[in-house]
Parts: sequence; structure tokens; C-alpha cells
Amino acid sequence: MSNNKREYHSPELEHLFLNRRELLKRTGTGLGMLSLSAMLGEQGLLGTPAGAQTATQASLHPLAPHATHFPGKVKRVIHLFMNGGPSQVDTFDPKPMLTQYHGKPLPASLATERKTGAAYRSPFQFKKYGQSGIEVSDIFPNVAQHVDDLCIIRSMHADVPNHEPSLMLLNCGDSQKERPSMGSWVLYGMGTVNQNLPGFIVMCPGGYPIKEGNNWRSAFLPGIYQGTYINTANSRIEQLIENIKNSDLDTKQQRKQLDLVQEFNKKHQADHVQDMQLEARIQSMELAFRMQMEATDAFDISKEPASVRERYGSGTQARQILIARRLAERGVRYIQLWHGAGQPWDNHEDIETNHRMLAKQCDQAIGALLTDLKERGMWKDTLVIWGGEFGRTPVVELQAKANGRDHNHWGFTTWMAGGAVKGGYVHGATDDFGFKAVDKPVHVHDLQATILHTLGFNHEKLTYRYSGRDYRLTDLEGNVVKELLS
Amino acid sequence: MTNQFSQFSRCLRIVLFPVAVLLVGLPAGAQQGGAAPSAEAATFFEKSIRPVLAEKCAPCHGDKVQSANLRLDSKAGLTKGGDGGAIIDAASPDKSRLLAAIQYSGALKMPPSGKLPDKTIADFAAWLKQGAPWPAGSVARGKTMEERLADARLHLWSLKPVRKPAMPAVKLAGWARTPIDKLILSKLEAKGLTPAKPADKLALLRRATYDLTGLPPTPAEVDAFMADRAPDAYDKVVDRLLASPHYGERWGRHWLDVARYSDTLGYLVGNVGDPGRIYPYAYTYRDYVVRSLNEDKPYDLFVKEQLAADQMELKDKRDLAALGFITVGNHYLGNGQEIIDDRIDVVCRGLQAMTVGCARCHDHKFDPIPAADYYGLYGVFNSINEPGDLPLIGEPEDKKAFNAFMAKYTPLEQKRLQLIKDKKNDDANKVRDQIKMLELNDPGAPPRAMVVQDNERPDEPHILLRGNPATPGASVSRHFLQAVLGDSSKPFSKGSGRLELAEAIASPTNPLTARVFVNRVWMYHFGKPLVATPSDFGVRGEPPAQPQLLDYLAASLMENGWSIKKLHRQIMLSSVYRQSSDAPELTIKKDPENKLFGRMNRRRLEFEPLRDTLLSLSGSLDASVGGRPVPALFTSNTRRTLYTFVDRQDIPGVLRTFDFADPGAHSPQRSVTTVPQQALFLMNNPFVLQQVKALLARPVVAGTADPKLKLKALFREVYGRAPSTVELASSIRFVTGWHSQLPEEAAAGRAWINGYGTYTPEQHRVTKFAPLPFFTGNAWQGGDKLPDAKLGWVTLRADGGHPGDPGFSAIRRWVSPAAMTISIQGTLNHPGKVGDGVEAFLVSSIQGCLGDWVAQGSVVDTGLKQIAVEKGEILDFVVTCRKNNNTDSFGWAPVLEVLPTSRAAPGGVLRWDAAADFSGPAPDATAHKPLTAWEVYTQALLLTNEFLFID
Repeated sequence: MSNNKREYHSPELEHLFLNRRELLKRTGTGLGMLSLSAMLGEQGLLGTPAGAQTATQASLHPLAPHATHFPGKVKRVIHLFMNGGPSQVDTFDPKPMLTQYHGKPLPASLATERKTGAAYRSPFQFKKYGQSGIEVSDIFPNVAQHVDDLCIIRSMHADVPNHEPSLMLLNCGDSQKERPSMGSWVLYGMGTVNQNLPGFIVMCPGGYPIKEGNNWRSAFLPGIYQGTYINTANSRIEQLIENIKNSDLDTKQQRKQLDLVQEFNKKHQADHVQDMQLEARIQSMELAFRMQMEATDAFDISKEPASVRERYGSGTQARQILIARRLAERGVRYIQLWHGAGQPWDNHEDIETNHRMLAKQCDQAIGALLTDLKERGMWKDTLVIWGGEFGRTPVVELQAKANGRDHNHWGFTTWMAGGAVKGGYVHGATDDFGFKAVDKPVHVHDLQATILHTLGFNHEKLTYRYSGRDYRLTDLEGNVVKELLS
Repeated sequence: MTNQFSQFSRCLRIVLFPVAVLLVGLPAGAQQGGAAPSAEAATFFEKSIRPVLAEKCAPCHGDKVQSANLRLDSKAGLTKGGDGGAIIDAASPDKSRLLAAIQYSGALKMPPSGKLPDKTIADFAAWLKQGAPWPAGSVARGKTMEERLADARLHLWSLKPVRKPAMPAVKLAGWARTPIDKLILSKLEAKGLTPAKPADKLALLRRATYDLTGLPPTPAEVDAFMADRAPDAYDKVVDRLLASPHYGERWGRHWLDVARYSDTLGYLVGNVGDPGRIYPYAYTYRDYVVRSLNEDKPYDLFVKEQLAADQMELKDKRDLAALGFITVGNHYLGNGQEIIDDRIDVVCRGLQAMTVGCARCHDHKFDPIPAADYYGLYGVFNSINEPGDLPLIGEPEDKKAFNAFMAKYTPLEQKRLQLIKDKKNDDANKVRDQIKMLELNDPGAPPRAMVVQDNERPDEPHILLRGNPATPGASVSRHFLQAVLGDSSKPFSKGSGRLELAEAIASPTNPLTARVFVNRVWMYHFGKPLVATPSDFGVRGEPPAQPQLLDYLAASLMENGWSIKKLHRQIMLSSVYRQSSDAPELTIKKDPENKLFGRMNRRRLEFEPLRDTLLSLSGSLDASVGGRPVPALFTSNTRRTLYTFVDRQDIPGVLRTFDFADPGAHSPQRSVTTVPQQALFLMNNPFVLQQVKALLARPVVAGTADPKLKLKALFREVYGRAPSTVELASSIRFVTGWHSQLPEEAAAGRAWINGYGTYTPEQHRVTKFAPLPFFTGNAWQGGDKLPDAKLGWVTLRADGGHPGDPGFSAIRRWVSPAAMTISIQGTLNHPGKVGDGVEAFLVSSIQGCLGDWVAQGSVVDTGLKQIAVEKGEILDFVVTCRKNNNTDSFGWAPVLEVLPTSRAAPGGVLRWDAAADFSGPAPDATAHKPLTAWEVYTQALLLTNEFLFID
């Protein structure tokens, strides 16, 4: 990995203020924020202050936290993926003109995947909320309470009206080629602070979304940067993470076994000339041992007080969003939550019933998450992203029921929240009917550039040499949308 | 977003690919404006200004691109300015926008790739002050593709003809057994270094065996090699290993990384595991690779067959399967452009280490690869198709099975054809999926080759501008890379041109083919290639640190008739290969990355040899070679990992954790990481324990009861050596000191039985006891409804319960796992305001009644400070309803604690808490036996570094 171009300028704060003893103490008491780089740094293994890893370090400690190009405000990302494509005109982009045109053809319609017909008004009511007075649909009453904290981009656009390429574009920056996902890039670019948990966790209840593991692949980046998929329909920890629990030995027994292993390892090490690989493996066994406990704890929401569980509500969405908060608290770098297997938000028909039901499943928990992040002091350095791979047409899809909407890549809404972005802010606009982004359009690559920026990356410099050139998430495109930043 | 801002990014796109700069003379009179500058000014301009303009500015503001309508490759452009107006201010040069931009002092910051050095900025300021003199006679521009092609053929190391180097003189002549040694040694000596000492015999045997077969040496092989004092003992080992059928499996897997092998075509609408995604015959390509390597098929022939077997005379019709190299790639939902791109990529990066894919949208920015060459190859792969009926390449040995297969296959195929005729494509596809599953799984299905064939009329390709089929550009011939062939490059004329392509690659005059291959072989032997970018030998790849060695190996490969086995032999018999992985300190200091190969690299076992070793230790490895893929990695699959079904779309997490090559595209090299998830696999995956148990059951280990002999046997199996006295001592200590027991939680849970029965006060005994039969999720009771028809109201929950009628008392039973002294804490709580309350008894099976308490709308302490119990002694916590069981809900969750003065229960358990330990039925409680000391110990051996690393 000597060919990478992670250019580091300033170390992260968390590396500076912990000495080895403190770290071990914290780890020992179960706080578990083991900052390997601090340990290594202290041992003089981390090289120059600029922090660039040598090839050997990168291969031995690929997940050790390291500094980004500049200090970013965001330390962790929670991406709420509404897969299938939620309708912007039914959620965060009210279009009164649609009511006026309901049942009539629009002055100009755009081509999408399927045949569409006349304008179709939103079956939901919009109301103004908060000081900002931003309008939100009544299917998201809890999220609406936080509208003054949301940075709503109403002018998103993608390239094509099909799920697969749009998912690939949003997650991996290229609709067709095998490119690494955003979470993999972030993990590669900055590592993760908690070595006891995977740094990039993907949760989807009941199975995979469309395009499956491609959505969180590491492609040509080392495999360790790939998202760890968790089926949150399961509830037992050993079903959640592979090999996380030993069914025959308890912790004490396993510790005794490991002590013997390490005794042999130390002896083996002493018989050979110093080799960082051997030491790294010894360390990684200790990390593995701790990971078992930390992971078990992180996914166990029964450890939350009843008041907190009530705040999130019941159901799978509530459970996985609460798990997401527990993971974020523990230093997991990138958490992606999918609404469900397949493409639940893809409501070609019965959009009223379906959108209402889907929103109800997650609205309360998303609201609770936002409240929780604030209460726990995590607001300032967490980035929450909500949205789908595209939006839906303001016109009706022509099929038997004629009460749903087709895919729409021309214009859709994504919102972000957290300390790094402006709250109570609406960015850009679609046309009068919500079809196409017309004011300050934000392409998916721009969104990606902006997300990377909040983490402290220059998206043009977060590159990896592969197949003859330097690749990056945004390929050759993307501009940071500065207006979104706080 | 400002307009300027987006221009920045467009700029950057180009700046990313800095173009080599040339100063080209222009005819006299082409000078634009102004008096000729002084000689001094001209020199200053040529030296300090023009190179910066050409390199940093012209890519976006030059002859090709004029961002913001600005050109900075001529005086005229400079004077004219761009969209934003003038950029130089003749009156006050200091206020020129050009200067502000390069000083990064305003909103416009140029160049966007980074601020220029202060010295350069000062030069520009001085130049502007002089009135920006621009001498006549030249403009700055990048080289043309023709110039780059000519340059590269002359100067790019990888395109120069392969030449066998002269052998250098070395001091340590005795060490240098082979030319490889001389070449390595001379570089080491130049740095004042000496090679590492030779590896010890065991390390060398283990290394060679894993390298060539992916399996550990057997103890018998270790003994034989240790005993063989002949000078050629090692040579014989190498020959033996090269002759092993497992050689082809090990090196076949390496080749499959290159070939992006998968048993599925990638993503399709539907679910993971849908049969529509399966390539039922991909295995015939895998088997072809394994067999070809085992037969030592010359590499040039191996390559040719993989590109054009259908157009060659084959001795063995199974060789047709070679074409899988082209066809086992990702199917990209049937997108032809992408399929072709993937095929060009696997051929060009895999066989030639040229990143031709970059030339899909435009001429390659660094390498001498014009878009015309990409489309020359595009034409080849756009002139082929995959026939619906794949050719048979063999017959199943079992005729009966074949007939049985055909009896199932024929009607399905007829049905499918009929459905296609009826235009019922969805239904036809469903039947096709059934056929695929049959072909994949039925032992009677005959093998078929995943071939391609030429179209009747080959494609006449056009360059597609920006890779877009909607914008065809100039027409090109089907041909191979000009950079490789130079003037001898000719348009292909035979069909698609695949055979001509194969011949151009598999040719002794191709400078890349042999170099690329020997580099890969070296990489697999040493864990590190000679050229650090094994699939990029272009100008941006890394030139080799040992170019003579690379050429020596390439030349010898060709001299030896492209024999791969001879290449292995050559490398493995060298002193370089036989070095220890422990280097002298000076070497580590001066060459920490081991670029000079002054030692062997220690390597972590990849996943395949790791799993194969576990199976081989347990004696359960199925060593048969070839055949259909086996579905699951762990359950009952005992075949080598190579044969596990590879689903491009769903690679098991544990494989990715161990850096398995992603079959999404050609993989130049696996990354190497050391992460805890790898350790978790060995610590916790039941597969590992399964192998441990099987190893312990093998006669060689199980045959002896003497712990010392058993330990020696285990060391021999796992490490191939005897334990030291120290190791023996700590091992004995561990094994004898281990207390076998189920995990604490399971054990603690099982210490309690939640039941019901009768306490007979007259006898001071519980005279009837049975476990409660039904668990609701939080309570044990008689059935799913209360009261139960038979058992009535009797219930036990974590914190208490409810007694039934007399004779159906609630009884929590605890069985002591050891003789010890304990205390008992607890309170009996009867909160009911009505009724006659409850009566509780603590009854020992040995000591009789130890306590008797009544609670009626009250809380009573039921503690006992000290009581000695025997192993197996039963304590029953009985709650009766007294006369009636109206409103008899009670709370009683005793906690038992071992007194500090007493010994603990096995496994160090000190506490039993009726509430905390409360649980539902234990999962197959009877089947779950605690691990024995030997099992825990043996697993520990498999967790060690000595086991996981090859020295």
C-alpha cells in the first residue's frame, strides 16, 4: 500500500491526549476505545508526524486510526438508507402545484424507467415546523420536530432512473464498474478508533438490498475495509457477527487458552529476529479476545434503560437504529442502515399506504436518534444522512392501480444532520412540480465530496493506485457544496 | 456554486495527468506580438516560466482544452485573457489577476492541484514586471501519441527486448549456486550487505511444501528429509513436490486470481444464490488450469489456448475449456460494453501488465496506448459469441449416472425450447435455471467447455468517443498494442483475430509476456514481486529494483521452452530462496522492506492453505483432484478450498477477512493484512474445533495415553518437530491444570432446575419432583395456559413464581457441583393482601429441612450464613400454598455464594443467582459436552504464530 495517497497533515485529537497507560486502563475498564495508533505512535512505529503509514504498518494495522487531510468536524457517519427511493414530493419537498395539476398532464414531463401519466398530488399533508418553518410531510412527524437541525438538499440528482446503477453511484461513485464503497474509502482513509468492533458496519434486516454486498464492497481496496454485514432480523449476537462467540469456552477459559498461546508466541518471537508481523499477530489476538465482549455488549440493546428503548419505539427499525447509536458511541466509523431487504421504498403502487407504513416504521426512532446524539454530546461530530438512491416521479405511474410513482433520478431529496452541516436549511430546489433539480443542483458526486469533506478529506486526494491510475470515490467529478457546511 | 469553482474541478481532471512537455519549433513569423525580448529575458522565460506554463497551466488552458476560454500557451492567449477578462495588468503588473491566482490570495486559486513554490511565484512576479516578454519561435504542448509510442519503445524498461544479462562478479562466490544468486548477491554486496544464513531444514521443507502444494509436509516427509544427508536431498524434495498433483491445485489458485475466476456470473435481479447466476461449467476451466500446470504445459501454449483454443489443433479436447479465461468474468447484467471491457482488462493486465482499460475513453494519459488500440482489441472481443450449446469435452465415467442425467435433462431442454418458441421467456428462464442446477449438481452431467466462437462477420470497430457507443469516431482495425509490436503491428485478418492476438502475446519477441509471468511466479515464491505493480508495467508502474534478474528469469523461461516447472526449480534451488527469514540486523536496518531479497519473507498462511492444513491435520482432507464445485466452505465439505463454490456476488466474510482475491475483476496481487477477525475464525469457528477433535482421535495421537507421548505426537503433527523441555513442561502444566466444564453461563444455568412436586414434612424430604414442562419465554409452567389442566397454577419466574394446589408446590432445585461451604441469601416476599400466604422450605437431599418460613402480605429473610454441602447434594427451594392458592404470587430468588474459606466449584464458579441464571431450555443440553483439556490445548497450538506463519 505504499502506492496510496493518503496525505495527512494533522493528527487527530484523540491520538494526542492519551498515553499508553491511560489507554490500557480505559480498555481494561471496558471503555474499549483502544487507539492502536497511540500505542504504536508511542513505540515510535508510526513514522513521521505527518502520519503517513508505511506499507508495512498499513498491512499490519490497516484499521489503526490515522489523520485525515485536514481536521474534519465529523468523526462518524450514520447513513440511513431508504432503499427503493422515497418520494420527495411526499416527504420533504412539498409541491402545491401538483394539487392544482392533479390528474392533468404536466406542461413538460421527463423520461423515467416506466410509462407515466398525469400529475399526482401528494396524499399527505405538509406542515411548517420549528423556527425555520420548513415544511415536512405528516408521515414524518417525529423527524419534523428536528427540522431546525436538518440540512435538507432538495436538489439532488443522479444519472439514470434504475435501481442498480443508482445504488452503485451513490454507494461506490460509479454506476457500472467495480469500485470501493464510500464506507470502505472512509475506513481506508482514516481507520477506526475502536479496534474491538468492525469499523464499517452495514445493517439490513431480513436479507440483502438490491445489488447485495456490492453496496459495501471494498473492491480493489484490501478486504478488511469492506463493510461487515449484519442481518438485524436476528437478535442473538452469534448470529449477528461471524465467529464472535465461542460456544464451548467462557471468557475465563478462553483467556487461559490464550495465555498459553501467547506464551508460545513469545517464545517463538524470542527465537527469531524482530519481525513486526509477529508482534502484530500477537496484538491482533488480544484485540480479537476483547472484540468478543465489546461486540456482544454493543449489539445488546437490553442494556439500554427502558426509557431509552421506549423513546426509540418498537420494531426492527427502532432496534437497528438504537444499535446504530450504540455502535456510534463505541467509535464505529461508518454505520449504514438499510430499511430492509430488496427495495422497500420502491412504491410503484399504493404509495399512500406504503409510504405511510414505511415512514411510521422509522420516524420515531430517527427522531429519537437525533435527540439522543444531542443529549450525549455526539451531535457535533456525527453526520447523519437520510435518503434513497433516487426519488420518485411527481406524475403517476401508468399501471393497473395508477396510485404510485416511478423512479426519478432528475430530482430528489436527501437530508443530513449533525454539527458539520447547517441546520434548518433548505438547499436548492426542484421545479414547480418536484420533477427536476433546477436550483443549485447537487449531483451524487457532489454529495460524496461534501461528506468526505466533513470527515476531513479532500475528495480529490483520497486516492488509491490501481490498474495504472489513482482512483477515488468521486472519480473525476464532484465539488464540495460549501453552502451545506455549518 | 460559482462558475469558477466548477472550472477548478475540470482543471484538476487534466492536471491529474500531467503531460510530458515538449518545446516545438514554429515557423518564423509565428511569433505573436511584441518586440523580441533580450537574450537574458528569453533565457529566463525558457528556464523559469515556460516550463511552468506548459506543465501547470497548458493542460487546462492549452491547445486541447481552454477552461474559461483561456489559453496560456502563447503570448496572444496571455494578452487576451479569458471569460473573467484580462489576466495581466500592464500598468500595475503586481495587480495582475494571474499573479493573484497563483499567489492563492483571492477566491480564484490556480493551479488547483496545489500552490506553486514561492520561488516560482516570485519568478512570475518578476516576469510580469518585465512586461511578460514571450520569445518567438515556440509554443509549449504535450507530446503526441506517436511521439510517446516511439519514446516508450525506446525508453520504457518493460518494452525493451528481453536480454539475458551478463553475470556480475561477486565476492561471496561460494554462496552463489545459481545465476539468480549472483544477481541478487551483487546488489547486496553493493550495499555492503551479506545474505541471511540458510534456513534450517525444517523451515525449508515447510516453505517448499507450502509453496508448491499449499499443504504442510507430513511427519513422514519431515523424517525422510531430516534423515537424508545426500547433497541433493533438497533437490529431490523440490522434484517430488513439482510432481505432486497438488502442485497444480496450489498454482492453479494463483492463476485463478489472475483470471478473476468465479462459479457465478455476478449480479442478476433476484436473490443471492439464484440458479440463474450460476456458471455450471466454470469448473472445467479451473480443472483445465490445474491439469495444464500439473502437465507442465509450456506457458506460451497455456496462454494461447486460453485465448484461442477453439482455433488450434488440440491434443486433448478438454483443453477447449481453456477459453473459460475469457468467459468466467462478470456478466454485468448482459451489458456488452462492460463484458468486452472486462475481457480486454483480464488479457491486458493479466498477461501483459498494461492498463489498456484507461484508453477506453481517450488515449491513455501516461502509457503509450492510444484509444485506437483499445478499440483494436474491442473489435476482437466484439466479434465473438458464447454458443448456447456448450461443447462436450468428456463423458462421465459412470454411464448409468449419465443416462439418469439425460433422462432428466432432455425433457427439460425440450420444454425450454418450446417455451422460447411460444415467446414465454420468463418461463423459459425458469426452466433454464432448473437445467443449470441439474448440470451443476448431477454427477451424471458430462463436462462442457465455456467456449467462445467467432461471429460469422467480424466487427469493424470504431473508436467510441468517451467510450460512448452513441458517438463513434474514427474507424480502426482489429489489432494488438502498437507499443508492444511497434512497426510489426498489423491488422488482424483471420476472423475475430483472437488467434493472432494469442500469437502476438505468446511470442518470444513480446517483451512483456515472459517478464509479467516470471514476476508473478517470483511473487508467489517470495511473497513479494520484483516489479511492485505486477499488473502495471507502464510508465506509472514501479520499475524493477532488480531488472537484470527479471530479464534473466524471463530469458531462461523462454530458453527452457516456457517450462513453468523448470522456472520453479531454478528459483527454488537458488541460495536466495533457501535463505532464512531471519536476517542479520544490518540487512533489516538498511533494507527494511527487503527490496534486495537478502532474506526470505515470512508469510502468513493464506486462507486456502490454512483451511486445507486443518483438514489435513484432522485426517479428513479429501485429496481428490478436480471436479464440480462444493457448495459450502465449512459444514461437510472436506475437499480442498480451491474446490469451494465461488460466488462472485457473495464471497464469505471469512474469505475477505483473509484477503481472498475479489473476483470482481482481475486481481494483480492479494493484499496482506493481520486483523483480529482472522484470529476470531481460529478461536471460535466450530470448523476448527471439529478438526481438533478429529486430530485427537487419530491413532497417532489417540494411540497413547501418556501425556508426554501425546504432546510429542501433537507437536509432530502440527509443527513437524519435537517440543522443547520448556514447552513440554508448560504443556503438561496446562493439560493437567485444566478443569473441563461447560461455559459458565451454560453451567450456571444448568445448576438450577425449575420444577414442581411435594414436600413431605414428616419425612423432611421432597418426595416428588418433576421439571416444569413448558417455557413461555419468561416463565416455566404446566402448559401454555394458566391454570394448566394437570398442574394448575404452579409457575416459576426469574424472581419468584406461584405455587399450585397442595402436591404441586413450586420447587427450584439446585444441585451442588462440588463439596464446599456456601451461604444462602434471599427474601421470601408475599405481596398479596388476601389469602393465607405461602410457606417456604429449604430442603437438602442429605441434611433434610434446613429452613421453614411463612410470608403473608410480608417479606421474610430466608438467609443462611453457612452451610456445607456435598458434591451432588440437592437443595430444593420449595414454596407451598398452605391451605389454598388464592393470590399466592411470591418473590423468592435465592443467591448462593461460596464462602471465601471454601474451595470454589470447578471452573472457578463462586456464585449462583436464581434470578440471573434463570433461563429457558438449554439448547441440546445433552449433546453439549464441555471441551477436554486436550481439545483446548490442541486448538491453542493452531492459534500460534509458529503454525500460522511460513518462515
